[in-house]
Amino acid sequence: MWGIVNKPVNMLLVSPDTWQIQAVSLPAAPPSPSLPLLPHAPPRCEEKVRCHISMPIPSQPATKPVPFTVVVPWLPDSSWSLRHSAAPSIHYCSLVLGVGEEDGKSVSKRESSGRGLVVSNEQLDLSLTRARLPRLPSLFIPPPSFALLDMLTTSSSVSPLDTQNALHPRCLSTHPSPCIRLLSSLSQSQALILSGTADVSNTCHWRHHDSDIQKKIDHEIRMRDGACKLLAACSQRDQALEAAKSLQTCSTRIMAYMSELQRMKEAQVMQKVTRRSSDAGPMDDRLPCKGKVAISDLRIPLMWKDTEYFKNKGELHRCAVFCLLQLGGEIFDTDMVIVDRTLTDICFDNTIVFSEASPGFELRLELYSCCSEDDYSAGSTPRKLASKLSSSLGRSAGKKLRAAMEPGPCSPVSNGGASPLLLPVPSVPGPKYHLLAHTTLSLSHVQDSFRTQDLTISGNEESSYWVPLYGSMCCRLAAQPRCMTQQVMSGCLKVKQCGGDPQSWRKVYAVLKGTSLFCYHRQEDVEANVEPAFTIAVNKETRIRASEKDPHSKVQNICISNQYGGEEVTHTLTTDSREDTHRWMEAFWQHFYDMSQWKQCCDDLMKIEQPSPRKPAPVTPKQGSLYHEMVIESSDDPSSTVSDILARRLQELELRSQLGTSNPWMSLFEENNPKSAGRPRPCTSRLSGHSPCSPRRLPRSPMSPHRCPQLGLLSSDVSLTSDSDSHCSTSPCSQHHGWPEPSSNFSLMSSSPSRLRPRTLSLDAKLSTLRGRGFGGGGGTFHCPCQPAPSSLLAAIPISARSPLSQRSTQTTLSCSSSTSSNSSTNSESSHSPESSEGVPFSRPSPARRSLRNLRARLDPRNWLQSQV
Amino acid sequence: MAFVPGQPLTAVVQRIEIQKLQERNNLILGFSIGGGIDQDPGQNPFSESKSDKGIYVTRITPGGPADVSGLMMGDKIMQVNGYDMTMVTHDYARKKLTKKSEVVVRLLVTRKSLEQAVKQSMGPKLTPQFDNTAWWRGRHPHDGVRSTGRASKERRGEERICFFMTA
Repeated sequence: MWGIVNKPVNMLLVSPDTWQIQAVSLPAAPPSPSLPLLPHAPPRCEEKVRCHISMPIPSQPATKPVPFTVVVPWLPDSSWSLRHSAAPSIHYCSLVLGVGEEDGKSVSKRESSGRGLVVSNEQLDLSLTRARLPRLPSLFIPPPSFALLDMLTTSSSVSPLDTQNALHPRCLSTHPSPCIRLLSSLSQSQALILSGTADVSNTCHWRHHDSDIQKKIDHEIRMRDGACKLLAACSQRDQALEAAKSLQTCSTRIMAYMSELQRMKEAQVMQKVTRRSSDAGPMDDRLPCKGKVAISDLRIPLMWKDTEYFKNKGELHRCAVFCLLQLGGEIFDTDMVIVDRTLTDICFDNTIVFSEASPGFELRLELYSCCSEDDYSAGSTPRKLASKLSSSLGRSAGKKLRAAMEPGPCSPVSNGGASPLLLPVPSVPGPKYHLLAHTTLSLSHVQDSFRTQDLTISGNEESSYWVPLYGSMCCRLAAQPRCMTQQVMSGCLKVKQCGGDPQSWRKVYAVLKGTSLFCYHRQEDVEANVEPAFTIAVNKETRIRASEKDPHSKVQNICISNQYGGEEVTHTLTTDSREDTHRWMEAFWQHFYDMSQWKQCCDDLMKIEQPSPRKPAPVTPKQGSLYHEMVIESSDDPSSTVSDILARRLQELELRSQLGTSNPWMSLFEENNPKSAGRPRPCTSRLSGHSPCSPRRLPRSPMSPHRCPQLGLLSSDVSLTSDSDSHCSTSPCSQHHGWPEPSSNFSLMSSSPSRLRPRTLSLDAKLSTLRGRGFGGGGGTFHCPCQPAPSSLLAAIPISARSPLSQRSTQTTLSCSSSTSSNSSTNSESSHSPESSEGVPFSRPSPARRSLRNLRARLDPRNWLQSQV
Repeated sequence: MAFVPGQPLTAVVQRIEIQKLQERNNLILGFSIGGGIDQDPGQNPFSESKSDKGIYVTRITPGGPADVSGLMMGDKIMQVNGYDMTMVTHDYARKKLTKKSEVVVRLLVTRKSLEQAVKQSMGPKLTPQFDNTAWWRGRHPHDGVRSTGRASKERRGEERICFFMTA
């Protein structure tokens, strides 16, 4: 008896009392049913919609439960709830609730297909009720979709009870509590299929579990709501990042719980099926013990480009990253770390312990990143509006509104490649984390030391959240199986060492734990931490067997054989009763099974440092490398003083090298050379012919650098300082060539062969560049404040050897002063200085001086551009 | 060369004619300029007065066209092809100098040494000394009062006031 309405869509709600989730499984050839359909029009408010589905008589008497499916048109409105009452003979029933068309299409049109197989002609009662009116009905736009129908069709080849196959990530669990009604806003193609059973016996266990999980889900949903609200209210970037992180974590947790719930129900169905199809042989249901798995000392090395890291150049890119670790249903996140190029590694200090791991565990580690510079506040207006509305309209209405305003399910990108998000994260404006890399660790990765694991990188360099990962990750992954930490078995035993006196049975209280059977004199000794009387090793090499019946007693003995240094030592255990012996044997088998499953984790007990429940805001030292601890921050720093001294010294040197700078004009006028008049050539060149320095003058015509060796040197300077703007900004104190000094060494001293466009640096950029250079700590880099050369230098310059003429010029210069001190001082040195002949040609600036100049230039808050023309 | 804004100013100027050089796709002059009314005059290492926002030659490419023509580092550019450069923005000056249509740029430049040299060698009498050196008279512009464009035009007019020192 099958009702499939051809416009089903998405949504479901079912009370978990008797209904469990199951995927669609349709038999291929259904009997043609009479189609009792639910009213296709959406139920009115405060209304109860009833549907009686009468099961047709199956073609053959059913001995096994056969699933069937009912599709109910539905509205994506969470205020409805579905109740059913099924006849006891109906064991399974799948329900698909979808959005139907709201307008009046005739019922007959909806009998698109009838498919299914039903057990009996019992009645299935479905009723839809809702408590209150939706406030904004106009917002509920039923999405048109044939998706479910397609799904049903495609899955029709699945055999009825193949739950493995049928169970797909499309399934979703539901919850009776109001808050889980959120789930109703599913995307169109995601249909929820519920399967119900009337047989509720033997379900106590899972139901208990179930409600546990549902409590957890409740909790997480509340957390998530809180995070959403927080996110919407956040004004600070770091707050928003934290809120987004917890949102992400909550969503992942909800997902995980859901799928766990799903798994459990599935398992229950399976169990039932196998039980009913009683031909299944005795199953070995021995399960390995659970254990703790701890991951700690997470370190993810980064690979910055050298220009980014050492020179601190380029746009500062900053990302917030955190790790999400999932093992089964346990999900934890690490602290958030802000990463920029000053970090060589991302270090997470957290120790994360999963306490319910089985040996086949898969620990999935996901590294999420979010560019912390993104303009997150620019959320779309409808979203903002929605979030505002939701806070003002009250919880449920706002939620509905938000659900309606959402364009679709959240992007699966943020879902870390897990199953498609059935549960859309309420979309709120804020930072979005993206999966940057992930890896899955398993038992084989467990080792009691640090190990490098490979990361699968899923981001790329173009993405805004990119962090240059090296592709590996260091961590310590330790595991403590429960069989190693807890008593597996304990009880009174009589022990006899083999080969000893047959009468020498010792009565002990034995405890099996880890790799030993501890034998105490008394049971109290265990609690009192008394050393055991003796210990029998129980490890992978140990052989245990049930011995032949002892002729003296009626009970079977247990023989434990160990190799101690090539010699086999056998202990024989006996218990008071046959049952005890069985229990012990069972415990040993289980123990061995556990050890075989947990493998290397059972060799020795690995240490797990318990994370303190709430760390008092860890005062972690600023992450970074050594390079950055050598910062010269302020000028009162002693190192800065040193560099000051160095800078001064350099200036002195510079001055000295310029002492010889001759002034052709001066010399000209001293000679008072009248010949210069009337010459057609520009005066400078002509005059320089008379100047004492003229021989050193570069040839004028050649432009090619090959003919000017100094140019090559200069360009090497340029590359040393590696600042494109190094020639374009000049500060008063750095420029040492003044007006009256058109001497021939100009060409060598300060013209740059490179043609660089002047560039305006913002102050920030300057400072950061400066700091970067300071960090770089290269030999020629000095940190020095921007100030003109100390006046003491001026005073120190000898005035004695000046010609009257140059003295006059000095006075003039000094009187109008103000320009630059180095100017005047250079000026004041006459061309008669004895060093003049040496000083000029070799006075090209050293790299160090150049960089000093650059530093100063960059410190200037204002610009004085120079343009090459 | 202390300029009082708004007051007439006299300066010894030198005419420099620079033939642009074709370098790759660009016509280059082979020097760099600094200054302009939009720049921080306090940082100009060449000006005497720290309020002088004139355009100055800050670098000469050795062997380049400007070098060949005798332009010197520290020269203050008064005019470019007749356009005033004493009260223009940096960019304006650069544009005037780098006009693609012009192969020859005629500059009027002044420099401290020039003035001194003239004064010293000739005293107050305006004895001809250099064929291409002249006294240049004009009104030093009020900083920021006139618009650049107008100032330029006026400057062009004032060029007539200048008289060259000739023998």
